[in-house]
Order: sequence, then C-alpha cells, then structure tokens
Amino acid sequence: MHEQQPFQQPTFADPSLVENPEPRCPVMMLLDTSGSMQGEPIRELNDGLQTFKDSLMADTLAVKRVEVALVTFGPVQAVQDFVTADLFVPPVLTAQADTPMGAAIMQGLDLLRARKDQYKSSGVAYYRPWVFLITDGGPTDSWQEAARHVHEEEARKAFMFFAVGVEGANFEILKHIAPPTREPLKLKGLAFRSLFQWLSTSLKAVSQSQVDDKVTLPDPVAGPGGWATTT
Amino acid sequence: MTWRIVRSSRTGTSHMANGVPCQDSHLARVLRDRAGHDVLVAVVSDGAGSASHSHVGSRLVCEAVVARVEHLLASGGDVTDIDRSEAQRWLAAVVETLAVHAELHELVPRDLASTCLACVAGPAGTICLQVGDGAIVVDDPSAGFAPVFWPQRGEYANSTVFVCDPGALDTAEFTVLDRAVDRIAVLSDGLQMLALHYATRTAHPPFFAGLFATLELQPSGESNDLNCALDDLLDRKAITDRTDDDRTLILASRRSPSR
Repeated sequence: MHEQQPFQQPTFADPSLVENPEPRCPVMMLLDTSGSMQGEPIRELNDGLQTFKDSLMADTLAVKRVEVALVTFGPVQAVQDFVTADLFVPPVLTAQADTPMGAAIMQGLDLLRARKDQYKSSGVAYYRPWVFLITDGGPTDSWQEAARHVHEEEARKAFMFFAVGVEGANFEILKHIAPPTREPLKLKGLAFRSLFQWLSTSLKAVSQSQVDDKVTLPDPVAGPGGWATTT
Repeated sequence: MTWRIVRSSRTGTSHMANGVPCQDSHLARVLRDRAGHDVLVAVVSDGAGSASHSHVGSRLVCEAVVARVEHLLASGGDVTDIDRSEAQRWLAAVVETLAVHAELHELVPRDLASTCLACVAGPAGTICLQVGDGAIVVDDPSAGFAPVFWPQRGEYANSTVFVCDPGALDTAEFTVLDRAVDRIAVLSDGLQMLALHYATRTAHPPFFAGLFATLELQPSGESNDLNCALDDLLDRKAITDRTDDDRTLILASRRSPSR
C-alpha cells in the first residue's frame, strides 16, 4: 500500500490482457449399465446425472472448467467424450447386457490420456483428473490388467480413482481394482443424486483451487449429504 | 540513477474474502558495483496458499536475495561474477534463512514455502534466477518482450515448486544474458495468465508496452505517486475479474523515453 497523494497523480492506461483458456478439471465416469441395473437403479442413475449437470451449471467457473466424459458398460460404449459442463447433455442410459468392467476401465483411461495430450499440446492448464467407477455387479471380463493400470497411474498421481458399489456389487473384486489408498465405497440405497451432488461440490472446489491449495473434500460417509458407507 | 522503477503487490480477492494476507512480496533496489555502475536487483516471491506463514516466507526470500547481492558487490564482485553455482549458494542461503526463522518461531520450513524470481542487471550483463511460477520478462532488441523462463509448474494447474522443496536448487532456472537489458518486468503467477500466452509460451507484448511507455515518461528513480498508480491499475475490475490471486508487478527501465 502506498500513500495516496491528491494532485497530479500519474495513471497507467488499461493494459491489453490475454484471454487464455480456462484451466480444466476432467472427470471420467465409468458407469455400469448391465442388465441388473434395470428399473429403479438406472432411473436413479439418470436422475443423478441430471442433478450433476444442474449443479455444475449453477457455478459460473465450474461450468467452464469441469469436463465430463462417460463410458458405459456393457457393452463398452464411449457415450460422451470430454466436454465442458455447459455442453454436457446428460444421456438417458438403458440397462442391458453383461458387465465388461475391465474393458471399460481400459477405454476410459485411454480417453483420459488422449485428453491430457490435447491439453498439453494446446497449452491448457489442468487439474488432476478424477475417474469415477460405479457398478452394481462384478466384472464379466478380465479385470486384472485394468486394475494394474489403475494402481500404477494412481500411484504416480495421474488421476484420482474412486470406486463406488451399489448394493449387490462384488466388493471383493472392487477392492482389488480400487487403489490401496482409496477403498471402494458402498452407495447408501440408490442415493445417486446425493453422490452426484457431492461430486459436483467436490469438483467445484478443485476447479477453483489456486496453486498449491490443499482441497478438502466433503466426507462422503459422515458428512452432511453423506451418500456412502465404507465396505 | 539510470533506472526508473515502479512496483506493487496487491492482495487477491479470494485472500481478502478469507481474511488471508497478501502472500506475495517484492523488493527492487539499485545498488552500485565497484566501478560505480548501477546494479538493479528485482525480486518477487509468491508465498504458498497452503502454507500458514508464507507471507513471512516470501518477505524473507526477497530480503535474503538482496542481501546476497549487496554482499557480493560490497566485497568487490560484480554481476559478471554470478554464475549458476553462485546462484545456488544464494538459494541455499535462502533455505537456511527460512529454516532458522522456522526454528525460532516453532514452525517447519514448509510453513514458509515461497517461490523466488530474481533478476540482477549490471552495466554489461544480466542474470535471472527462478524457482516456481511467475515470470521475468525482458524486452529483447530483436525479439521484443519475452519471458526468460516459462513458469515452473507441476503437471497440474494447482501445483508448483517452492524454494524449500527437495531438489529445488537443482531444478532452479538460471541464465546469464550477456547484454545490458534495459527493460525488465517481474510478475507473480496471479498476473501471468493475463500477460503470457499459454499456448505459444510467449509474452503478450501489448500488456507490457503501454506500462513501460508510461514509466519512461517519469523522472528516474522511484516515486510514490507512480507506485500508487500501479496499485490502482492492479486493483481495477478488468484485472480482478480475471484473477482472484495476489498480484505483484515490478517494472524497471533504463531506456530513454521515446518522445
């Protein structure tokens, strides 16, 4: 702070400012759409995705910074490649087929790597990506290779991997897929809306953090709006 | 005195909202070498948002670097004596200063985590040293305004390097410019996204050109009035709408006014 003087104060004209792209906060969702999700679960999941979109839309910065991609299984389908929240149109997912979770994880991680490469080549700053796996069953394909990728990349902080099981999920295998530092969580009932509300709140905090801010996420188990139990 | 200087550090709007002090610090001094030539020292340090006493850490970094240059000149050295290993000794001294302060105040050095951007410009040579993000921008006679180094960042938008980090001395950017640089800007990361093009990793010349033109119309040295004018500029809505972080800018010129 410098002392103000009333007369003949020199002034600087407004300088021209650069319009750099907003830094991005990517989130890859790997969603189980196998036959067992039919009925109430898939309806609640679809409602949850809409809640997620609405919540991000209400935040002027998050809407430009959070990028969403969806891979569903099965069959494995990249339903949505990365788009910013304002351009994300929540799909209406239908439940069908088996649970090729391993292949879905591999495809999701491939899309994420490609997105990071695009950020780098176009000079876009980005936050540590999130990968969110939601399932009500267990893999019907080989999942060990996918688990190895998750562990390796999580260990070198390539992303943060969250595994969420709905009632009936194979938590034994989920524990092998989830990184050792982040145990899988069990969804309370069909509280998909609470889960996505939490996800958008957390992503808002991350996407607005400054250099070296430690971002404290709301507790998904004990916090208000808690949607999970530990397994 | 050959240099005109203007400088300012302003508290980020997010810091004001949370009652956090301005964690940026800066110092700009004009010293004399043994031949009586002016030597400009400009230092900016940005304290880590997550460190409880980084507003103190950033001040200590600036003071320690200026003290090292003063010591060098007082003992008969000049700017051309500063090489990478000398700069690393400065950084080691900075780390030591932070460790001593931490010890005295029952803190750990991490509580004082700060970046370091330093430029020392003598009659023939200029040295630049950088740990962390922010930028030192010089006006090159052939290339125009250019950042000496690209801001040191981690992979992610919310990560950078601090002086007290393990390995920071080894990864510190250091360079000698074998010429008398006549326009220097040092800025903290709160301004870098407004003054640098991320895609091309270049400076945005119009950001700097107008500011230097205004500075060069002033008498040499430094004036309270002009520092206030820079405070006012950095507080304008056009800027605070685009960055909620602390904003620091030092401009120094020894170029004659163009008109």
